[in-house]
Amino acid sequence: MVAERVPGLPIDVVGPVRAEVFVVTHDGVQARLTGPDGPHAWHIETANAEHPLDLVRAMATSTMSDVLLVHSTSWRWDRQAVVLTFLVVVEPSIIGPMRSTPIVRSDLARSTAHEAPADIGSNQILEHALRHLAWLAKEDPVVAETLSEAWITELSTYVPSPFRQIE
Amino acid sequence: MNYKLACDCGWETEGPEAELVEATQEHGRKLHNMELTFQEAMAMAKPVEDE
Repeated sequence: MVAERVPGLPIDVVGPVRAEVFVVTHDGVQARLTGPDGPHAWHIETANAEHPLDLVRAMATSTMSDVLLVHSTSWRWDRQAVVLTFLVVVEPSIIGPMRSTPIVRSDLARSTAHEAPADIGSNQILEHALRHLAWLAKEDPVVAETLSEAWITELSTYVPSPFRQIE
Repeated sequence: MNYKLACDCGWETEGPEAELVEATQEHGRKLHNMELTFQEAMAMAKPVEDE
């Protein structure tokens, strides 16, 4: 059976839970978005009974070298599925073999008192993911020790935010 | 006949049916954790018009 195609998603990624991964690095000057399929959100199907974090970690380390951190940052309901967002931090040596682009700051999506925002952009999800990394850098000693000085300086410009639902 | 298939992640492939399906299955497995059947891959493919 051919699954119903969901516009805006890679081929036919379906299932009740989807993983959306942002692969980021810092080149010493600026934070950059990259990824094994280009500098944009990387979508992974989680239909199997595998823990999403274990799955994302396994796929990240199998497709990229020098993975420093893998962390979930938020979840949201989108296109009939729960989307779990992950941030994967990699060493800057990955720039070159993989395309990358500077990360552009964005305002967060804001819901009204009664409704979720009509459209949550990828930049807004990434903005929150980096705010969560800023939170982790303050709260989690392992994260703080793993990130470079350039990352710590960069994250000081973000408002720290806990894991949460993006709505 | 050649076929073309484009994944929304930006990846594209083009070639004869068997090669296109094999490349698509490998891409789906490696990058999206998906197991695609031959029929599923071909359902997303478009024939390339001869010039």
